Amino acid sequence: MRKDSLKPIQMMTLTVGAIFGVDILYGPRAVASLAKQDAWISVLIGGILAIIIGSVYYFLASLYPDKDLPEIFVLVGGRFFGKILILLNSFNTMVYIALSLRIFAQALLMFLLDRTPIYVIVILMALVSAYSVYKGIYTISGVIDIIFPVCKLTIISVIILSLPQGDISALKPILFENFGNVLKGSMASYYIFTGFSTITYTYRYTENKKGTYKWYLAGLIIPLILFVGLKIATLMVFGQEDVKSLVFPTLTLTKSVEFTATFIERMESTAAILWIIIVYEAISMFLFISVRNINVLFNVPSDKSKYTVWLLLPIIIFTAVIIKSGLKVFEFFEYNRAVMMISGSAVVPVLTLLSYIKKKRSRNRI
Amino acid sequence: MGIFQRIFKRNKNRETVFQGHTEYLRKFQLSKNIDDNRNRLLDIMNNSFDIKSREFNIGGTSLRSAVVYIENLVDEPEVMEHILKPLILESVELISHAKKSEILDIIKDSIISIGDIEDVFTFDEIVLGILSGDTFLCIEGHDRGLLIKIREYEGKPFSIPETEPSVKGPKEGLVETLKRNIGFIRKRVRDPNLTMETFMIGRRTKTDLVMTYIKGIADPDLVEDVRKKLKEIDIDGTVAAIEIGNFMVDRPRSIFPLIQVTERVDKLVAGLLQGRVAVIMNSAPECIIVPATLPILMQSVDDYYESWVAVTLIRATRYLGLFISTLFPSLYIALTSFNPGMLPTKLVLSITGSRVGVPFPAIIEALLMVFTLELLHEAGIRLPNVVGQAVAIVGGLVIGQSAVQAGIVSPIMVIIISITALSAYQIPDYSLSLTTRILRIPFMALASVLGSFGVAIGLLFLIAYLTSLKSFGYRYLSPISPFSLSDFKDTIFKSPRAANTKRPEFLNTQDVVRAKNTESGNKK
Repeated sequence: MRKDSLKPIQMMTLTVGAIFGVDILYGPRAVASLAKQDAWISVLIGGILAIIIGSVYYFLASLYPDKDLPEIFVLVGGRFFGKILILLNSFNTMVYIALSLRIFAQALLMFLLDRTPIYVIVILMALVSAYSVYKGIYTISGVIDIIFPVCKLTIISVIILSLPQGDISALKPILFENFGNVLKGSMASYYIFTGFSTITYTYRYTENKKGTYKWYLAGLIIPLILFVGLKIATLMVFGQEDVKSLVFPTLTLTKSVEFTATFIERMESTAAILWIIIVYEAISMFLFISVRNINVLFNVPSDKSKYTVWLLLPIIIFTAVIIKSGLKVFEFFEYNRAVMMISGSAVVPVLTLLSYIKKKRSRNRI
Repeated sequence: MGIFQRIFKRNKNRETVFQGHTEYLRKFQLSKNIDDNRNRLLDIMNNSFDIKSREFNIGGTSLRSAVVYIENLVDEPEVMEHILKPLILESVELISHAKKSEILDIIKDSIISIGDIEDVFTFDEIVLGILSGDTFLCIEGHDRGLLIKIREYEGKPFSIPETEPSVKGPKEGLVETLKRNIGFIRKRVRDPNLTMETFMIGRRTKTDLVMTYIKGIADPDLVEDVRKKLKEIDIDGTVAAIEIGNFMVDRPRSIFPLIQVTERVDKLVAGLLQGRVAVIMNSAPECIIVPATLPILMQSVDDYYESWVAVTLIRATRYLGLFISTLFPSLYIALTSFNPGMLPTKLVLSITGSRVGVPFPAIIEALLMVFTLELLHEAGIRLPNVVGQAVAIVGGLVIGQSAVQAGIVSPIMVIIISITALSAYQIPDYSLSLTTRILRIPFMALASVLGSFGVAIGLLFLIAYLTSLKSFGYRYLSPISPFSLSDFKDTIFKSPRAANTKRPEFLNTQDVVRAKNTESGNKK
């Protein structure tokens, strides 16, 4: 019997799954407000930046092929400093999961379940994700393997089917006296690629490391293309002014798709169900990351480590439902994510450099 | 010879042996010592319990001799009557005066009363002969042997596999006699690597069991796992192979079948050739094959007798059926009760119109129909075939029609439940079909409380559960998840034979290649 391991191709599915979180429904409005008709260029630049920083993350993971990020934190940063980094990372990640669950529940209330209490949606979604995490990374990757084509085909369909309703002139003039704003918007766009950091947690589980970078890169490029596609489609269909005011532009975009006299007449409800699956991918991945962080932080023995997820769950659910104002949730979410991405983008390259020097020195000594 | 050359040569030889070839045995000549010959033969055939070797003295002299045969392939009374009896009892006169060098010819020409006897010198001829049902005779001091052809040409009676019918495939089914079942396998697999290991299970019943696999194909870890689990079974008695299988699975509480049960000989042999392990039990007309994955359970024997295009379409229908059987009633409940906006307006109006006057909510209506369906199903199984059909007609037509006319259920619900029932019946594995019938109920409950969100959450739970499930250490959804492109050619899709020349990668077989790509070979 073959030992369980991840295949290099799964680096692509896992990365794509982690990146497409609630952003697929929500998408930061700041991008459209700043870059206006050139918002898609901001997304493109943000994505390219994500590929560059993501490659640094990959390089760090490849320096320690049998360790994940919290272990690297302790190894390189030392016990004290390393654990502080883990603590901060854990806090950010758990808040990210909780707020993602809340945004997802709000989207579902708006488009699918108008009478269901918000906590029911949050609890159920958290439970199903926790169950996968409890079963381990191979279960998460297995589920993502199955739902990957369905989810991505849905997004592609939404883009293609909504384009005929759009107006290409909404994208013009391209980069006309707007480059500064585009650059500002690209930073906000960069944040939507949060999931690329998961490579530092999944890399150690791959059996054959050869070719993983190629698949990881594909995992960054696919969301980039689809996010740009969605941004172009929303701009073309709604125009830059309306896009600024839309809370869930992608979900609203699906409303524009109609199949007259076919089995499914309107797409928004069907798409809303598929978004459940898409959001599940990201939440499971980040929950897995949280569990790993907590396990390393508190030195949880390996035979008990899988139960950590059930301890984290009440905290996450409580954080998700405690905020009363729906609008505040978006504010907190964007703020938390910005902190997460900026700190990650600052700490990880430094850590990578230190690790590289450390490794080189130890090699020279030998 | 250098060390690398020696390693290379040994590996190459091992590969040849594992690929089922017997030509490599040509270099092994028969020895003058019958013990050497017998031991070598038993060794080549992995000491399988059904290889019978009988040593005796010819005609009351001290001349030692031995016969070797496979008990299920030869006509044993004929061996006694025409070989052993004449050699032991009726050869005294002829043998006692004969020269040593003439003895074998005298036996061949004057003692054994069988028409077809062949002289053999090398082990390749002997092994192939024994595997084909011949009896091998060797005599001490002779480096020549006799291959006596007492094959059972007519074949033993078999049963018709009633629960697994096939349109074009063989009709041979297992019977309740262990020996005969082993003969069916031996007849189809003339490979010396086909290994049979015996076990006795049941403190009181002392039931004979045979674990069979093809050495050189099956993953040794799998073989060891099955062997270990069979040894660990501690039960007072057993009456069916499936009972033993349920003792061996990793997750006995799972509602999904983790073993494959079959009564078809061709399916059993196909499983062995894939690299799986089978367990056959005495007094049981079925056997179990492990590991069993969901894609394997969704395959039918007819898939291998039809064109790949037809099979691909049929399999796609089958997977759709699996989905419908589990989810159709729940989707109906979700869409009509919670999310009618997902359906075209005309269809919504039609459904609403048909439900006018129905006093129950969709969930109660569906539960009533599902319960009736289960009643009909059980009644159909318990009653004799002819009466069973009558029950199906009464149930399906009369009750359905009357329930609609009485306004208890809507016509559309009758359609939904009928399609669901049909979908469950087209699943090739009965246990899997039963599982979908069980799953239907929680999905209906989720749909009635949370609509399509509930169905989606239930589906995610189900997928997560399935991906975590293992059958004898192999992932239950392999090769769909973890995805393997090379194995995917024979799952939902069926590629042409020329593109499907390897054994499933996920089974971790030792001999990977099943067929040489003849199509590309011809092109060359």
